[in-house]
Amino acid sequence: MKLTKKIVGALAGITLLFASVSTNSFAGSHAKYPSKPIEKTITFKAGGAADIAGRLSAKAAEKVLKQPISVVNRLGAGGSVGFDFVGKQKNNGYNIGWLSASILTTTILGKLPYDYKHWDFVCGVTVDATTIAVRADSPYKTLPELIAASKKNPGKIKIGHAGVGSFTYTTGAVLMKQQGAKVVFVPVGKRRTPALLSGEVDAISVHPPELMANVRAGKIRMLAVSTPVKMAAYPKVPTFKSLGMDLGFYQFRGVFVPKGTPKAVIKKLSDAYKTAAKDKALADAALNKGFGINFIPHNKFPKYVAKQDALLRKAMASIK
Amino acid sequence: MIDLLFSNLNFLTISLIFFGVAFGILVSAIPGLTTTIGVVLLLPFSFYLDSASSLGMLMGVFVGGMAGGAIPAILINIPGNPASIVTNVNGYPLAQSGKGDFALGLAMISSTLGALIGLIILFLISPELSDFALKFGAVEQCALVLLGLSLVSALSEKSVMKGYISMCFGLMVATIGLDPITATPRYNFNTVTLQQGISFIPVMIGMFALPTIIESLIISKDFKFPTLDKNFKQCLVGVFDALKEILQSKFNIIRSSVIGSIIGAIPGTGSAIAATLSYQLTKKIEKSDNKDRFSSQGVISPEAANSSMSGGALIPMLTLGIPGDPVTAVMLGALTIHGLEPGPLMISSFPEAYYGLLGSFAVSVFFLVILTLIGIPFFLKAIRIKTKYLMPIIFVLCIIGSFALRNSMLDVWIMIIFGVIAFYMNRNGYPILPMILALILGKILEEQFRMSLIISLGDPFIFFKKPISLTLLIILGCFLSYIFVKFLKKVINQNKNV
Repeated sequence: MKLTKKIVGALAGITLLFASVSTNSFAGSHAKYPSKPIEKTITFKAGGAADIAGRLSAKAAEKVLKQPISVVNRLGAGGSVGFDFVGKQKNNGYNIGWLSASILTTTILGKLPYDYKHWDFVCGVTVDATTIAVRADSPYKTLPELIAASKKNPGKIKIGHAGVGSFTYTTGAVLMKQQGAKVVFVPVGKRRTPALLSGEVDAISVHPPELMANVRAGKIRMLAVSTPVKMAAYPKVPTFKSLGMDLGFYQFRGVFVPKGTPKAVIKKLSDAYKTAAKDKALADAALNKGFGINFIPHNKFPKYVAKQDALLRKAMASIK
Repeated sequence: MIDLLFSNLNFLTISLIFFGVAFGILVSAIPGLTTTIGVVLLLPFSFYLDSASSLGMLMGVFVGGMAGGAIPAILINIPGNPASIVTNVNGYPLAQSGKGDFALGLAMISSTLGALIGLIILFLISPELSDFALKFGAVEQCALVLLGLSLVSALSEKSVMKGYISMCFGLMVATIGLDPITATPRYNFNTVTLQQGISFIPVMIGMFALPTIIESLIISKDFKFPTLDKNFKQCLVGVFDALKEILQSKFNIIRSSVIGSIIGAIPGTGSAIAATLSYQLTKKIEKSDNKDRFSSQGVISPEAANSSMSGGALIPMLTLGIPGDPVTAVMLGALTIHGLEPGPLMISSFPEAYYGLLGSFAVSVFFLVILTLIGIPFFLKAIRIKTKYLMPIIFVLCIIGSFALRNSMLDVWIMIIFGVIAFYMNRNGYPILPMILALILGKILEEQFRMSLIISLGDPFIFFKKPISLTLLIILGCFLSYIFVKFLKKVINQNKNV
């Protein structure tokens, strides 16, 4: 019994220690913003395309803001852990986050107990397509062919995706639903490319950056991409829009801050990222990895997010 | 081809590789900090270095990191990183019996040989092995995981029953978080943070480190780690003995390294699985009445496997653009930053970078030998620090390590809670390893099992229709019937005696 008491005592001590650390905070004025380093939360895995876009844009924005931006990856539960974290930080402009449309999908799915109005939005910086891709030896040369084949043989074509609730799944599922295709969706998770290459699934619904190496090697063929305009990295791939299948919602990536961050600070951040969006390293990465740059400034971005939220909400209700 | 291996090397590259290996050994030798944290910490420097230097440095961390975790596992019974998750089982008792230098020698030499074999496999048959690893789809992974779980008895030193109870506990914990198929939150008490589930790394850190910390600081005041009063020369004798032992265990080294490379090449696995599976098999195969001999085999096997895993994990990254484990996922990012594109075209489009990477792997292995062999006497000295100073430092590092993984305070609490649970499990004779292994494998098992059934459109016989999974299941069947027959014999004998 004595032993248990000692352990409980030690744990209580640790709790107190943490409590005293976490109440510590800094006060700052935004007149001379930024006067100290900024912390940028990235909700994606270190080294992935979304992370590289977030890191390179931060590195370019640093030069304008003349303060370092330190990048911290906060992962988990499809981004909700990081989104939730940023929302809870001080709204003084020193805590910013790198978002994607997942900030909408996670809230719509109820993974977070609030909606997008929980944060303030600074600017959009890059955009990722969602593509439906097949193996090079697949009999399906175009997206309409694949859809037609699935109607002939319902349940025969399997499409792999990252997981229910992910943005890429939502795009693929809504597209197939709208077109009346009869396909089976398989949540292959991280093994998307291996599952396609090994023939476990017939197609995958993913972001192009994870495929580019195999696309250039001629092992995988992208049938179509979801962005409204053709992307510089793969100009020959048709868009959903050109096939008459536009969905209206896109995987945008950009910067967000805790609710109530001063307007002047948001403008300063947006201006810095406007310069960053023209950065050469970012443009090179975009071409190499296969994402697009699409800057949306602070005065337009909140409206854009609201519109995307409405579209996604409707689309996701349709595939429930 | 051979000339391309070392064409990138200049003074800066070589010194950065040296730094990488040293940093990798250090990071993974510190309980709480993992190799993944090591490469993530160095990733930002990639922006400022040329590709050969930055990749050489990360490669060094990877190679050094797989070896360094064995040091604390052997000396203070706390694995430094997931790769050394089973090294302490036989390594620490060796150190307790005054053979710390011998055990460290075994671990370091088998790590080096493992890395070398991994490199040779990578150099010679990477396209073939990547094709083979691709065949490990949902169905095959499911069968492999089942085999791993059934071998749990190999991890239970005293009571097999308690081992399986511990395993069930791990499987239960593995269900916390978002459901892998429908993304429904489970057992998360309606909190956002628990949706991410319980990651095995903080659990591992807590379950291994905290019991030792509690034991040494709270329970027994005169707790001491086994130290060695040997000078440099005497330590070398121990290392030489280790070399002799390893020369007699060629089959174990080769088997463990090949298993390590294959597991590494299968996307979605990692060093912990490689080390544990090869350890379990070694324990089942190498039946030796000589206990001393088995303890050394038990150190050699996981260390050879985890180091050769690094070569295996590079294969899918370099040939398919798919990372084989968390460390290669970060390296993939570093390659991308430099405009290189790992994938099927890597060898033909960027031969210099490809062979340069293999070259820096070879140089890393070379530095690994030198650094670890020179380091052994110093590692032995480091634990002479008084327990009352050493343990609080380790505790702080465990907190930092758990936090740094996902920058989440929840992981720190998980580390502490599971550490306390492990303390009571130890006291009551429940082994910890089956629980951690089940936590790692349970998530894979559930996800791949349900996915297999989706792919087969609900046909459960798919597991018997694919050759690899059928083979694995037959091995599993033989093994289970062997246990059952042994059990029956025991019951019959008991009845006779009554």
